[in-house]
Amino acid sequence: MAGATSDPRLESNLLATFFLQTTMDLVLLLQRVFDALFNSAIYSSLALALVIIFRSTGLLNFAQGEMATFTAYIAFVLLAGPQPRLTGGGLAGLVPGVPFTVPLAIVGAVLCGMAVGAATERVLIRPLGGASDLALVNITIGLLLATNSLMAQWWGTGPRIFPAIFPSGAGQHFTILGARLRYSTIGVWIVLLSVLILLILLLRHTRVGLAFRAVSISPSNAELVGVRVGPTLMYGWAMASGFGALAACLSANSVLLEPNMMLRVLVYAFAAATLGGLDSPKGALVGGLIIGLSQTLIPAYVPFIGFELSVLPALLAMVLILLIRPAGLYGTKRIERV
Amino acid sequence: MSTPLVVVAKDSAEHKRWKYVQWMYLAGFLILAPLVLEPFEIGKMNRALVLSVAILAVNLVVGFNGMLALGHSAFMGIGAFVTASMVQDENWDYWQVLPVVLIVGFIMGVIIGLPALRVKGLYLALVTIAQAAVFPTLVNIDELGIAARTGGPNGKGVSEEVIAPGFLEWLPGVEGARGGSAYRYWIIVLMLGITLLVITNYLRSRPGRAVLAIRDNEAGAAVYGVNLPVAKTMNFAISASLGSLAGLMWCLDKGFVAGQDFTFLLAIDLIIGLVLGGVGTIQGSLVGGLFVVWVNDLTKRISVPLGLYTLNGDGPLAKAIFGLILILFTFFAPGGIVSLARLVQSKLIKVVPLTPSGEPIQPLDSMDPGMESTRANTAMKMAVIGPVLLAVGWLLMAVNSLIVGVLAFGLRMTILMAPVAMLVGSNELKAHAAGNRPDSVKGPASMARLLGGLGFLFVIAYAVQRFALNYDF
Repeated sequence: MAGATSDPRLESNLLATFFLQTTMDLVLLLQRVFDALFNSAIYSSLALALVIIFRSTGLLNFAQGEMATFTAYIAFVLLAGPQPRLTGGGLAGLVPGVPFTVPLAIVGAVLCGMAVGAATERVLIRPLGGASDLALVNITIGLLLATNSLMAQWWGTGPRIFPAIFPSGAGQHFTILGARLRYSTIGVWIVLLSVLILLILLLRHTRVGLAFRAVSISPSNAELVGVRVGPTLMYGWAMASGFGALAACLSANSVLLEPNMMLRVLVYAFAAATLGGLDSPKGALVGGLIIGLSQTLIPAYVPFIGFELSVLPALLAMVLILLIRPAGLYGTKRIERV
Repeated sequence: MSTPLVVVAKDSAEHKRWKYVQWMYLAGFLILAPLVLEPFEIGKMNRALVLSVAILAVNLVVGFNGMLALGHSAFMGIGAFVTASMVQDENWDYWQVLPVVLIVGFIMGVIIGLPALRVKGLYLALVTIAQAAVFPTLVNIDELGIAARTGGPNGKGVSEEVIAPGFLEWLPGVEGARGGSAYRYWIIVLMLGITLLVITNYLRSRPGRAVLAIRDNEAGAAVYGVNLPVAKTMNFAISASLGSLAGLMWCLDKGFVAGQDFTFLLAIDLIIGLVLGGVGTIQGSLVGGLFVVWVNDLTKRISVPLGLYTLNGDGPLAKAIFGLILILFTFFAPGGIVSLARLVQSKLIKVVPLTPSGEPIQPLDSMDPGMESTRANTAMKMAVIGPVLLAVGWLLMAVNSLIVGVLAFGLRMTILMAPVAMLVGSNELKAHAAGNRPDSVKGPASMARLLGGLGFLFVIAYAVQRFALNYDF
């Protein structure tokens, strides 16, 4: 034993192995981080949608994921036209085959999603007025069930291949320190960040944005100074659903388009939104990053948690943050008046 | 029909008669169900009653304590897996597992409730949804021998059959082809009955009233000396324990449990049942369970041809209909079916409470404007409509056997309306004898009493005949 360690040749060899091992581990770590970034972007954008609605209307939209999936199907129909696989009757058969390009189809889907969101607010949420939390939860759960099964009815439950918006072939990636950063990851983040900047500009520098901020702080006071609360909330829902639509369209390529596509994503997005604070857009972004990274990294380094359990750390994180700091990382504390 | 058909003083002989009728209906429904239904339909009934217990568990937290806990599918799963594991691996009896399941559920409720109840409203909804979402994957963990106990992704079957012992074969339906499922039906009914009794009494007890007070005004309850964390956690734990009991009943009924049975979708089913039945009412939980299973069954039969393709309720559409019903109920009947039933009941009967001295608070005469009463006519119509439908159905059946539905509908109308018509008719006759009604009331009232009485006799004869058929008298 003593002889083995004192052998200088072997020692240098050991050192080399150690270095090689460390660098390989580092590269692997970097690779995992890069892989996680894609999912993080998706979680962040869906979490943003949840946050916008929670801020303005004070409710959790359980149907957010299904509404997003619906718009992804719209984009698919816009792209593919009435394909024989799609004509089972229903909506798909009615849409003429227009030669849309992928980005154009996604823009169309986002616009459609905004219309759906606005209509939901107008038809289902506003008439309820100040109903209880349970009633609002029921409405969104009903919407979730209805949307999900209507999609299954119209387009079938089988997964469909959604075309990629960014090049995502075998060789299409940057190589940074030996780890691959895909173009699609970068593209998704560029889209997400630019839309986020647009949103911030809209909120800070336009009349509509000002009205929206006023309504989300205090609807009754905003109404007193002449803000039309109803339409403003409707814009908020439209904006949120647009975000959801974007998330669905961007992720549809990697997770395959099917009616239950966003259910799992929705759980992660809830966790992300809670982690960051349900009323903070910045928190949604950070929360999405944390959840995405933990989902990839923790199963990789903690042997106890297999990949099928990757949902566990995210949810544990959510429960923990709710217990320690119920408002979330960036959220504002609620003060209850009796 | 703005005035109720019958006005009775509380605890009067007539009020008691109404109560007896209600209890007779309940007993008749329970006893006839395993005799009339096919074995697979009894299976559905069992499932509905099991869901009722689970919905009652959710109701205890959501309806009676005002906390949005949506994850009771996980507690059901825990109960079901503990049962399956104990019965299959350790050869325990179901009755021996029962206390274990209750205690395990209670402890799980404390463990999850203690932290979860620190957060409020929608935040609690999030935590409990997380609990429901993670449970099906937890079942598959290989460590700690969990997967070996739960059967992992394949699920776990329980080979022990539940068969009636010899001394219980007299139970309706247990003998013969329906045997197994009918016996399980009786076990489930017994468990459900005990549960209802216990929960009703719990809600009337001191801790139960504390729980209700927290729902109505949390700060007020605290001021009146309710220990909020203890009351909430205990209530949550009792609810979890009840949820586990539902899991045990599920395992007993199906003989097979798998992680996929206890997903978030089951939690949503429970919420639907809760809202449809009636939030915050004991009867609502019962109705909700029946409704969830029954509506699901009905939607599966839908088949509408629409040009090139047919709209089948068998596929994914069932969930859409559930979603639609949930939204419609939230808008138009937030109190659920129970509130609708109470609306109907308020048209039928009004119970006038008594003063401490035993007199009705309002004199019954003021409820009973006397000469211009139209009740006798209404009662006569009610008494006539059932037999007429029966006759029409019988005639049509001779022409075309497809119109059995009218017959069945007439039967149901008779069953429902005959005793009401009989009671109202005799009531009006009594009023006439006392000089409070014109002579023109006498004809319709005696008609209603006669036809209603005959209908009621017919209903009883029907029940007796089912019994005779079953027992070969």
